[in-house]
Amino acid sequence: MTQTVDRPETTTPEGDQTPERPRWSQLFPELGTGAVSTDRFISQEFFDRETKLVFGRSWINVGTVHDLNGAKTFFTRDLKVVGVSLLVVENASGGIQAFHNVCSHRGNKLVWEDSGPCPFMFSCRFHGWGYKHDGALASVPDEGEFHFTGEPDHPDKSGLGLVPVRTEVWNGFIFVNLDANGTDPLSDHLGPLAESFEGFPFDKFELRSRYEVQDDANWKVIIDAQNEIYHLPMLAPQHRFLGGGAFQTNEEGFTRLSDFERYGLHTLYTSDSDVNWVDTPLRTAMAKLNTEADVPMFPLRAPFMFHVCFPNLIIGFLGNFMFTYNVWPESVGHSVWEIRMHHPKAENLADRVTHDLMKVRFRDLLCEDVAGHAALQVGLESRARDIFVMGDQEVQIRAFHKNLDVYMERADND
Amino acid sequence: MTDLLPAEFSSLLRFSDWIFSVEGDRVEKRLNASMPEAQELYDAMTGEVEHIMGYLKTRPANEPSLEDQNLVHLVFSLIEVAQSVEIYGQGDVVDGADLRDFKPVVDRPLAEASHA
Repeated sequence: MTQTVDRPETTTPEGDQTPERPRWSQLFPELGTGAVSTDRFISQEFFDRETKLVFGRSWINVGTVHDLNGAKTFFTRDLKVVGVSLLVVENASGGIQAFHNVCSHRGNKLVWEDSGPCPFMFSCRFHGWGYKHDGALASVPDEGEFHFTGEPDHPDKSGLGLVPVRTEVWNGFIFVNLDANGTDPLSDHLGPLAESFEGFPFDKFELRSRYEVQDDANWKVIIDAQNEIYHLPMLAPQHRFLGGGAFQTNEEGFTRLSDFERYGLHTLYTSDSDVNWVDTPLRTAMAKLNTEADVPMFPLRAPFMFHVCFPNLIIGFLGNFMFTYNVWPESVGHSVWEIRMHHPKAENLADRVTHDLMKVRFRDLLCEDVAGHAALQVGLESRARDIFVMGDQEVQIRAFHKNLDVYMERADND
Repeated sequence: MTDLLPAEFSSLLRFSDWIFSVEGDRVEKRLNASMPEAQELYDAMTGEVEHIMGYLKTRPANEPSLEDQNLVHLVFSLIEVAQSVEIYGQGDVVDGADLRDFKPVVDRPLAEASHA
């Protein structure tokens, strides 16, 4: 049972009337203020449309350069939502290319390992067909028994390489596009979001941890739940502690967005911290003993920044800490929440401690969220209501759903 | 070899069963520890924080000695139990999921040089 004693009391049904800034709904009238349908989180038909029109066509982030370990290394990624297994390879000269992870002989899944080095070639377990780093078929055991004549239904070896998938890398983020007929470059997709990151030193971060969480919720429930801070003073102990001022709050203790922006299909919201906020005893003590680690190292305009990169990548910053989420739909009501935590390169072992303080706090915070995601899905699937409502501090969620609708409508008409 | 700490921290050797090199083991220990056990580690270690951090600031991040790794891993356990002591009043996340659901697919070891 959630304790409610330390929650702010609800006394302002009219919302925040801060005179300096109009409400978000006035600044973004195109997003409206109306209710949102329950159906889009629980309907198989809606999910099938997303699968086909979004995940089958959009640029999708499948990993980063941190998942590779230099030249001649690989990782695999099964995208269950579209029923595709990918093999992502860094070749000898540093180029990164994704292929369908499928042997050209009988269709076996070629590489079964998650990641690793590949000094020579990718060899199929079934009959040993071997592929070079550029996907070319290089070796066929007992080759003389095959009919590689080059005629239309007798492809020769040059026509039996791995099937490439369109791949582009942006600031270390590896994107693929499964629409074989598409030609739109990644830069068109990222558009103003990429511009907002112009010159940003992503390479100064290193990946320290990555989690995969089995999450019993629709993929959009997970994104929506993270895409607002209204819930912070309420949900659970770590949320309530941080909601007490690590994020910007008004006099009544309700969080306030510092900024919200739409970047084409993508969005950003930010939050300042309250200057008088006091951290826990251990964290306060440790921060004093490693003040250098808290000096802002990145050109970020707020202590907390949360970018939703359509459709399912989140890039967030909390001080000098960068987290990313990839929310992978697997069925209407189940997703895998992939979480990565990046820190600036550590100078000394005290930095490792500072980084671990952030990691553990953030992990526990998200552990509170996971329980909330599952509860949300249960409520939605009960169909107790056809619609639900959102306030102005949830404008980001409206934007995400609007972007999803616009994208699917456009794809439908193509 | 987990009973080894830098000489000046030998008083902390009594907590050597809190030294784990991987996150999953630290989480398991936190979840299984009683609150008095967690409190004991918390009280003893927070009293040494100034000394420990001062020392760790002098130790480069790359290629730490085994003793230094053990000390850092002990501090990582302190960070875990601080969540129990300062936030939750128990090892488990209150009103949350099971921490074991956070499967560490990547948990970079201290001794691993960064490559990217």
